[in-house]
Amino acid sequence: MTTTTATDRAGAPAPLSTTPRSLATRVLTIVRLLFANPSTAIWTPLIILGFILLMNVAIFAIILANIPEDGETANVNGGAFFLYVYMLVVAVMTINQAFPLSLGYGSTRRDFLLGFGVFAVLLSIGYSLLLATATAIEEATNGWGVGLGFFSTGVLWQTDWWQALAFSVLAFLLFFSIGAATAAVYVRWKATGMYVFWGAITVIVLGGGALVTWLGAWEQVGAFFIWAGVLGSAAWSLIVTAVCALAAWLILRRATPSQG
Amino acid sequence: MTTIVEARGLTKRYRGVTAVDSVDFQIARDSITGLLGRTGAGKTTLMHLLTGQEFATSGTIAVAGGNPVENAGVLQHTCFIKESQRYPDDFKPKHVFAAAPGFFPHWDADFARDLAAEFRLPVDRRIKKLSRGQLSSVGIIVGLASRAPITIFDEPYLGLDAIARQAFYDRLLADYAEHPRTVILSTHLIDEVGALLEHALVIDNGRIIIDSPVDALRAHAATIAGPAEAVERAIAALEVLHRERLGGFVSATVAGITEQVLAEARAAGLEVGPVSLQQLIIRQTGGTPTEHEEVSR
Amino acid sequence: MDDGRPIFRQLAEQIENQIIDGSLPEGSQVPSINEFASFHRINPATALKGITLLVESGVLFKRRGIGMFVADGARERLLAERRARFATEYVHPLLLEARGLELTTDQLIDIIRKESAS
Repeated sequence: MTTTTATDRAGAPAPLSTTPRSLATRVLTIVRLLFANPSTAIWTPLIILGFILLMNVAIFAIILANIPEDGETANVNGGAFFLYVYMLVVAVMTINQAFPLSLGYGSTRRDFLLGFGVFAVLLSIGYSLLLATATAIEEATNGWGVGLGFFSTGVLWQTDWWQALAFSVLAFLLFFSIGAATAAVYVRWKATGMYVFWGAITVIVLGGGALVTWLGAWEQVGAFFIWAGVLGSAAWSLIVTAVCALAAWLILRRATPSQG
Repeated sequence: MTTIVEARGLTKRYRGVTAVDSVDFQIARDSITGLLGRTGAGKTTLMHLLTGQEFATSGTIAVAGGNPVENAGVLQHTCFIKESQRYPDDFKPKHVFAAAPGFFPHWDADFARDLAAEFRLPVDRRIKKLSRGQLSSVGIIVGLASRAPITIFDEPYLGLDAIARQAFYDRLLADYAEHPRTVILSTHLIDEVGALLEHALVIDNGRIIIDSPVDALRAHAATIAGPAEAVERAIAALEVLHRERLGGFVSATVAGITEQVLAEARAAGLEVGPVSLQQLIIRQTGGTPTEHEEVSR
Repeated sequence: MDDGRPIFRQLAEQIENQIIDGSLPEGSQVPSINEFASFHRINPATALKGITLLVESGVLFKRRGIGMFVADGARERLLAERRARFATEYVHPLLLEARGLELTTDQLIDIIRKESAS
């Protein structure tokens, strides 16, 4: 008797093509997945931001009403800074949760990380546009009419719109990449990885501080930042950003579902 | 027959544990293959190797002719539904279904909607709040509606009741008939899926111990029971997988049977009965039934 | 649909039964492979194997692009085959059991007469 399989009914099917779809299509697939539910990355932080801003304006309005003084004393609190830390957390959660799913759905590790990169860049630019514009409005309205420095964190924002934008984009990218590296360590080595990772970071930071103290070089460090300027210092952060992104890639490219 | 998956000497070792031990096998294109075996036998590792999620220690695996590891050209054809898939915390089923078409070019959104209705899946509820069975149905819907040329289900039914599981099998068969594709189904519930399968790969302790068309497996084994002496005479030339004795009564599960052997056994007044696929596999993996039936809870 | 024998054989036998009892008359169209598969909840390849078995033995014939039909004379042929197997498949076990119960052949014939009369 001849052995027959399901394929015989429709004739032999065309062989499966192993020519991949374009890189753009594959990366966009990941971007679409990461933005499929924009609530965590967009709506929630925007609502929190709006809420804290309103609270701050209200509090400052009350203070202003009770202490009759001219509005020259700007009250800088930089409440908007939470967005950067929030995005670090978004990076950690997004990679930890979407990476295994994407692999199961037939994505490569490389395409996933590129997709995450596009996701991070889009969010960085979007939030920076918002922050730079809000800063401009804040300065134009004398701190929302109550002298509040919610977006303008002291010296940082005494710049023009473009510089504020560039600084903010760089800062967001830094936080995203640190988050990505953290998540990569977690995905690959789970809790053990976290202990080692944060242990190492602590040692590096404390050790660096101790070294600078021992060398009595804090003045030089301060001088460096003054020399580099606000935007210059931010530009130097690109090194850290690049190192973190590279680390995330090197760690994730060998990550497997069974690890940890 | 066209081969879609081919493994040669495929081995995966984790610190001292050999999860997959130098296996060779092929899977036919556009067939339904059961990957069967006990918990911890190496099924999931094998499926991870097949989808490039795990790196082989040695040996090769080719999927659609290529190495699946980091190979977008191969992986675009695969969909892997795992037992306890995690989704992003804020996701609802509708978000999964909205993102799926990017991964699966053959995605059928109407089919997905249909299935969601059939499985009574609340598509607008947070996945974190879904029951175990509802969570499983998210995976099943993605696996079916993906129409991925190579669809792999790893114990996809946890928490689903018998009715929902039957719905899954029925939908799988009907859609497979209309859109032939390669389906690999890893399961404990062997008898439930026995009739669905064309081919069975049984893995035990990291090794493939059965690689056979299911029809041949069924034709191959039987139980022969009766007075000890007569049974022993009838099975003398056969491979005995299992033998149970009760006083002078013996019931033997034997392999390598022929029509003639069965006819002679019947003529000798012995009882000849079928062996279910599950029984057969239990016999060959040397396990006790309870170890296999744990999932029926 | 599972008595332990290969499913495709069981399917073929079931179709044969329907031809013998007249529910599938000669010349009539039989259901498609996919209909069989979904009705019996079996793999379509298995259903195809069962049908192929009947096509090869000349019970069914294929009309390209239309489907499968019951061949002329199929019923007679199946009846002849089944009658030939009747003694081994039904009478031998019956005699075996009768012997075990210490019934003589005459007693057995009496029982058969009585049963067919009622």
